[in-house]
Amino acid sequence: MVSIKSNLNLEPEMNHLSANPILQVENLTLGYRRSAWFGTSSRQQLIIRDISFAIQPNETVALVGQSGVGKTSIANSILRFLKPWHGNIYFLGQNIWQIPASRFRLIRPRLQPIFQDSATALNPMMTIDQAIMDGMKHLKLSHAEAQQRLNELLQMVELEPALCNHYPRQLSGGQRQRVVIARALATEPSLLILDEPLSALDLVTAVQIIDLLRSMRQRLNLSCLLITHDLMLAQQLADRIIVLKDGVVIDSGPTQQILTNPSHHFTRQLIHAAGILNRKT
Amino acid sequence: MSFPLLQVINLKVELIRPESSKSLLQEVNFELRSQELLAVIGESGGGKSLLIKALLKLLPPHFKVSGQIIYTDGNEQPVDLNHLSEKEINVYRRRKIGVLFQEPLSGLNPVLSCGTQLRDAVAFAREVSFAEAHEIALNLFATVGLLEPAAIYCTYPHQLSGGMAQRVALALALAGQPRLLLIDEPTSALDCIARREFMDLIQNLRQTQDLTVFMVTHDFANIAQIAAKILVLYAGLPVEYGDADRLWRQPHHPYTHLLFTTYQTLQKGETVAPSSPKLSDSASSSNGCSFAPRCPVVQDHCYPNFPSYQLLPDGTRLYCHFPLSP
Repeated sequence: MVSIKSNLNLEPEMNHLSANPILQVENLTLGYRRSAWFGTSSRQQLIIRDISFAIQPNETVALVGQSGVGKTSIANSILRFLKPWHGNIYFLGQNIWQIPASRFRLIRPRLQPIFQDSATALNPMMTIDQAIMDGMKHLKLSHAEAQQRLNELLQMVELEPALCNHYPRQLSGGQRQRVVIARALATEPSLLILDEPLSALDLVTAVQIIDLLRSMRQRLNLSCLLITHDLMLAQQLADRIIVLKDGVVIDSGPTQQILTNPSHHFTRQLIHAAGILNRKT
Repeated sequence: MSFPLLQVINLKVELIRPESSKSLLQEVNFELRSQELLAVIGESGGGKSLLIKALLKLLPPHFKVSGQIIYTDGNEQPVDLNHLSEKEINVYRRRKIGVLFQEPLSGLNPVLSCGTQLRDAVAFAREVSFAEAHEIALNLFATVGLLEPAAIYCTYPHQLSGGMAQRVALALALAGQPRLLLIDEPTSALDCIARREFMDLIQNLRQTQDLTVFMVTHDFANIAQIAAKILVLYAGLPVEYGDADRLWRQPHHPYTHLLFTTYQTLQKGETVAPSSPKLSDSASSSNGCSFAPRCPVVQDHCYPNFPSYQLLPDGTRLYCHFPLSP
């Protein structure tokens, strides 16, 4: 495989990862401020209160909670889309909200999000090969190298090369999600942020994507932050689960421990609602 | 005493093009009795949402719908919805058949408050004054489990959470006091707790409002609890149809078996092996069984021959050359 890490021109300290977590979130507090508008008064809404967690190399951590609890806000903050009110986020040893934007751009390719709706994640005017190769542009690969890497990625996500010239609208939901994964992997990321990656897919397709993500994780030594309300998915992919409610962490621990011995009644409620081993007689 | 409220006989939907036509749904036969819930399951692109649109004659003119959709309301004469004019079917859409589509917010007008929208829908469907419609709207908000109907009345769609928007859309679907409710993947945008609450609400409405429900869903955790019958669609063909409990215990079609075992394995937290070959190879074959490329019990006979119709002794109807035996 064409390696791109050398092209990233990272500072030496960024590569000292073996003993350190890939991602460390410290006392993160997030919220939204709404400015006064047409006679309405300005408002502040606190979403996440003082949460901390870390993701080690080759580890998958699931953030689980109901819709609106702030899971995606955490992802947005890690991606530097939403500035924290308080706290620090360290990615590859860098405090991402303290470093200048130019420096963040250097490590940003190592941090790749995969969102829920693959239809809106892909540019409708770009063919599949253009979309994937667009992600490699900043790596300054030669055309031959980029083409070789494209072929490897398509093979890795089990997409037929014949689909290269297709537009996103011509693909099924599962195929589009595979393209999004291939595009994310194009930059050899250290951390994937998977925000409800399966909620738009039917069961059989979802299982294929679970299998793909699992094998990618092992093969590429990836760390993942999985954001989901589906404990069944968390059970399949995550090493650890963090349960959020009302903006705070109410339960966290190894996946099996959370599922078999949850400490909070809300976690039990989630397990029950997810239908885990639940069937009328 | 339950009676067949809806009978669909040999429904077929074709996409008509200038040079050719393509069959998107075929051989669809089912019966829905009063107060029953029929769950339609299957892969994305299998024709589930298309079926809902075909039942309500909502497809554009380049789709040709053939077959019968017989609606019988109590003592009234049975009516074939497929052969009604646009004016005639509007009466059914307005008063007898409610519909709830997948994304609730896309069905709500963003510049009108939820209450205004529901009041207008009630006034139009039930032919009552706005003052009466206002009261009915408040009651409907309470019926669908919205805790503060008066506050919701003044709320705009963008101010609602996903679960609340789904309930407002449900209230709109109930504006005309329908006997039959068609629901298209109602819970795909909801978290698992909101999903469970919504399914409980539907179950409750079936009993209190005398509703019959036709539901397209991927939500296996809940259909197992509340569906009376299950229709499994694969590539536009109802590969298996029968009693929900029986199908769950003993699926006969390999695709139904694959779906249920996959879900049950996920429930147990065991690692699921994806069906092979992969999705991209599963394009439907032209004449033979569409599921053949992925079928674990496929035989040479399956590729060139359209699957044969079978009515099993337990009442299950399926299309398969080699159904799984008990």
